[in-house]
Amino acid sequence: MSDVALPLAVSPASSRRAARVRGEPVAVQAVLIAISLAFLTLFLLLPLVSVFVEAGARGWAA
Amino acid sequence: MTVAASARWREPSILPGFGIALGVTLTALSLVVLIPLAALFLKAASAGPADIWAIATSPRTLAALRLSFLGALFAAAVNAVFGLILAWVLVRYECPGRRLIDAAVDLPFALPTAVAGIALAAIYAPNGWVGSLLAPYDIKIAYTPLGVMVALIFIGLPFVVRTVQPVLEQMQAEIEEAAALLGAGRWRTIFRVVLPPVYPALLTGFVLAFARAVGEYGSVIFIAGNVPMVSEIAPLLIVIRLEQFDYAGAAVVATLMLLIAFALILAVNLIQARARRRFGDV
Repeated sequence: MSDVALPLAVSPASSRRAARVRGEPVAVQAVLIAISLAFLTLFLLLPLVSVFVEAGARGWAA
Repeated sequence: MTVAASARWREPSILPGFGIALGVTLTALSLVVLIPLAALFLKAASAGPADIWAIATSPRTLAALRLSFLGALFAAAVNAVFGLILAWVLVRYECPGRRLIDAAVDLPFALPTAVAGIALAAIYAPNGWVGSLLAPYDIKIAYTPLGVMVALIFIGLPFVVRTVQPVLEQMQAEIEEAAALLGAGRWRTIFRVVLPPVYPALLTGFVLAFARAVGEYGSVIFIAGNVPMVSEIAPLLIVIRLEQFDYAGAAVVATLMLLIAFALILAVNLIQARARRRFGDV
């Protein structure tokens, strides 16, 4: 709504930038996602996976 | 200023039933929290001043307390940083498997702590998946204080993510757009507009993660190796004394932990109250 009501004083080039005013550059996003995934893998996913691996190793035979 | 003045003493609400509500609340609080804690203090006092002093100042107790509290603070700090990033990514960015990760964040709550401890020990031991990668560089994680911190980080992560996430989700896009329209750059918008309302939640998550980490027992003892003076946590010291039927000694250590934890959490709450006053009602 508010976007429509704004006067069209901005050039198309800068309005394309304005549309992304809430986001970060893709590179920053990628870095943040990579950090989260690395952290999660080390501290959360690996322990969980290892539980399943251990259970699988013993469980199927039993 | 009127806010500060009225916060000091709140008038009972005009809603009826203040007395009975307060009574029920205090009764429940007494039964569940205050009476057991009072009993703990009594038990500790029964040890006698000389014994209390001897236990409290013994090098082993001090080393365990230091490890427990510094480890918990460190783990909570790590969780605060990475939990904030994780919450940010989960709320704002699209990446494959996001919902799966979102669900997995709660798993440390669901997993029995002993299972978590054994799994972490298996991974971070010198012959484990991660430990074997670090072993050539002579870095040992399991069976050292670092191992304690790994377990504490695992245990505390959901607290930070789950307290910060809803605040980030409810943040209105208009605020950021207004900041951008007023000429703030993206970084400035994030650090001056977006994050300040998040800080109280972040601090709450930090305190919760810290409190949980201080008392954590099950997951730590498997990965810590429990070397006295090196990787022995205070809760383990309590259990050791209990197993020796030294109930008063156990109560002394427990009381020390309680007092330190209470002082730290009180300090954080004071900081938080100040932040709340500054950033408004968040």
